[in-house]
Amino acid sequence: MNQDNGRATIERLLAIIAAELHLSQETKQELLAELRDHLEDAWDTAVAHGEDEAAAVRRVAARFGGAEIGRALQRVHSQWESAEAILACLIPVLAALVLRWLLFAPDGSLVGWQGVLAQPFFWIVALAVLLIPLVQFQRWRYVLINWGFFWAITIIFVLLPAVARW
Amino acid sequence: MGRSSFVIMFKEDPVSLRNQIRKGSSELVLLSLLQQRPMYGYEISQEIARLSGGYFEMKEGLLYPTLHRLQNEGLLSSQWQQAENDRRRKYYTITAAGRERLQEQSSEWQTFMQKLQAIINSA
Repeated sequence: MNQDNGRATIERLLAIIAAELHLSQETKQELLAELRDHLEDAWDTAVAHGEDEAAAVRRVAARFGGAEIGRALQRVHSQWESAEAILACLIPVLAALVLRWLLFAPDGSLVGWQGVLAQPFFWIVALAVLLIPLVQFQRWRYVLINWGFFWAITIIFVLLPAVARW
Repeated sequence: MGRSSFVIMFKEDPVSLRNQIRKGSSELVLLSLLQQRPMYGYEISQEIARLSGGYFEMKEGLLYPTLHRLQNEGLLSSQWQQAENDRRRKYYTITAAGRERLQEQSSEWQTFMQKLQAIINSA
């Protein structure tokens, strides 16, 4: 067996694990990259200790496990991804509500762009919408989506006063 | 679990007891190891095998769901680092919350072992 055949065995095992993962592409790729590193390290170590390449890769794959690893990872990450998605939706909505009730006049009238931007409270909320996801989420994409969503809601409020009067 | 099923589990299936002990202590094992220094997955599995003399041997891949759960709970943090041969390795580091959990679990485990030993010795 040459190196390519050994790698093909590792990739086949990863494909079995990947079949159990129904997560975002980013999460899936990161998980598989970590598992691939482990398998290659284990294989290299076995070969360095004089083991035959073909026997080593088979033993490494058998010791590692297969579909059950994918199912266990799916259980851990699906819960987390759902929680992150809910939080990612809630944060800008809550921030928009805070702005609606504390920043704008009680009757719903707006003070205008200049007025809104001049208020320190607006920037405290805007910064919180950026920093909370930054600390909370593992994915930069969620942070940026959050930030973009917050600004979209804010601009809609400012440009379309009728929306802000509800 | 009733007393009778508890006894049956111990009498008839010692392998299951061993697995349950390993399963129940996996969090403590990982937190203890990572208290020493940051490590990556394969390194952790090697350390577990070395320190336990193979007692904790299990499917190596099962290490990762536990590591990721601990990370999601804020007990571990992780960081990719470049290694030799163009490989990247994900290093896990214990957090302050992880150290706190480790202290609680170590204490609980010590108490469990003392109490169990007292019962065994009295028999």
